[in-house]
Amino acid sequence: MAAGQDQSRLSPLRSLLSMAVLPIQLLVSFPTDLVRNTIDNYSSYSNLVKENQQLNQQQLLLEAQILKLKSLEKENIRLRSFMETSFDLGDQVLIAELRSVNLDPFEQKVVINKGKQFGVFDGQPVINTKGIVGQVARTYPLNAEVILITDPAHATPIQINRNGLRTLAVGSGKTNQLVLPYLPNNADIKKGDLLVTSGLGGTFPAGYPVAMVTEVSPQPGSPFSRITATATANLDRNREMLLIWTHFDPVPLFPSSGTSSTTEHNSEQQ
Amino acid sequence: MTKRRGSGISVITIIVAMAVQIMPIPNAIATYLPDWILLTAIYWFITTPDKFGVGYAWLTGVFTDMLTGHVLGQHALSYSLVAYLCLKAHRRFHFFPLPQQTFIILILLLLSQLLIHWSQNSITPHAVGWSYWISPFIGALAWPFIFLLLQNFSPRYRPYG
Repeated sequence: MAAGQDQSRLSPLRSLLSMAVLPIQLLVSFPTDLVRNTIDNYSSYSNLVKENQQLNQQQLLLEAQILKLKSLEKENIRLRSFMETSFDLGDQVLIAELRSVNLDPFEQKVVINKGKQFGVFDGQPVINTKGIVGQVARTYPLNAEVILITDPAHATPIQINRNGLRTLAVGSGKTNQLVLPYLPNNADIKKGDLLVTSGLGGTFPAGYPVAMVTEVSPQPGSPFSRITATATANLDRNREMLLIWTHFDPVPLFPSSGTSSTTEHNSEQQ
Repeated sequence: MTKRRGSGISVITIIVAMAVQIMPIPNAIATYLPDWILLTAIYWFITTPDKFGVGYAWLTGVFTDMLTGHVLGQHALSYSLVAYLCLKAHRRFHFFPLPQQTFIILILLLLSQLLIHWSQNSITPHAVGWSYWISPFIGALAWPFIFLLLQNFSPRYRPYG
């Protein structure tokens, strides 16, 4: 992206300035943080017990699912190594929170409270529990700017989950809305199709949900149809986000000492 | 006395304006809100031009760029130009009644908005609708209030009581 061009030379200055403006950002986000902390502190005991029970149940469910997932993942890696294709090994995550500050209202960008001190890097994918949020545009010592997938300057390489058709989803500049400008009128896409990351481009790992197709209207006069989609990741609601580190090291093909030991070794590296 | 009070209070008002600028407001509303930092800065350019000139505007602009996630220099450029025009015109400006001042402020805000649009467009395609040009008008309407408000803090310049 073009913003990256001047970034390399000015980044020490930007880091310095970011420390200078940090007090203003903290001052602005202070009231919302205060309100949330107060609510947390004074929520009643019975509510907490109820929430705790719910979370425990959820935890049990998720752990059971993960058990299955792990065996599936290993099976998948084994199968892929037979097929001579590479497979990324899993992702490491870090939870970041939004700072309650607004940047330019005409750009879809947000500030998060994790920066270089946690090893956040430019171009790092950001997700939440529902799907892809965006990628890190600039990193500072104590915070980072995230460009959302709905920014007009951002394009996400995607594929349709149903049939694997690949294309780009470009931000529309409106909250939660994406457009797919490069699909021909006869493309196999329907309202309600789930769009997931295709993994092309190298920024986003493959297979994360991005958006749901909301409107497909073929344009008789033009080569491309007009397709809009809604981001699955409620970009304007969620405060928590996950920064992910993807391991792109491929599984060694035809491992000499048996597949199972290689996968063990790889999962330890995570 | 003016020297001691003037500079401190102007820096404080600019910082308050910066805080207001990045306040978490829904985008549907924030789109129409004016550039508070520039409005506050214009007040100081006009009332104390001997202290706050183009360099001060440039510095304010760099900080604004940083706060709003722009490429460094975009606001710095537009604020510097506005400051230059203010310094050129500040003597005449004092004789204008508030409505006429409002009109001049509108032109300055539109100019700043245009410069930021141009510089942004040269970096990435800056697709903005008509709503992008609304905020200068609202800023101009807000000028009399800002003017009267800041006058309370301004030690020397009080043409309107």
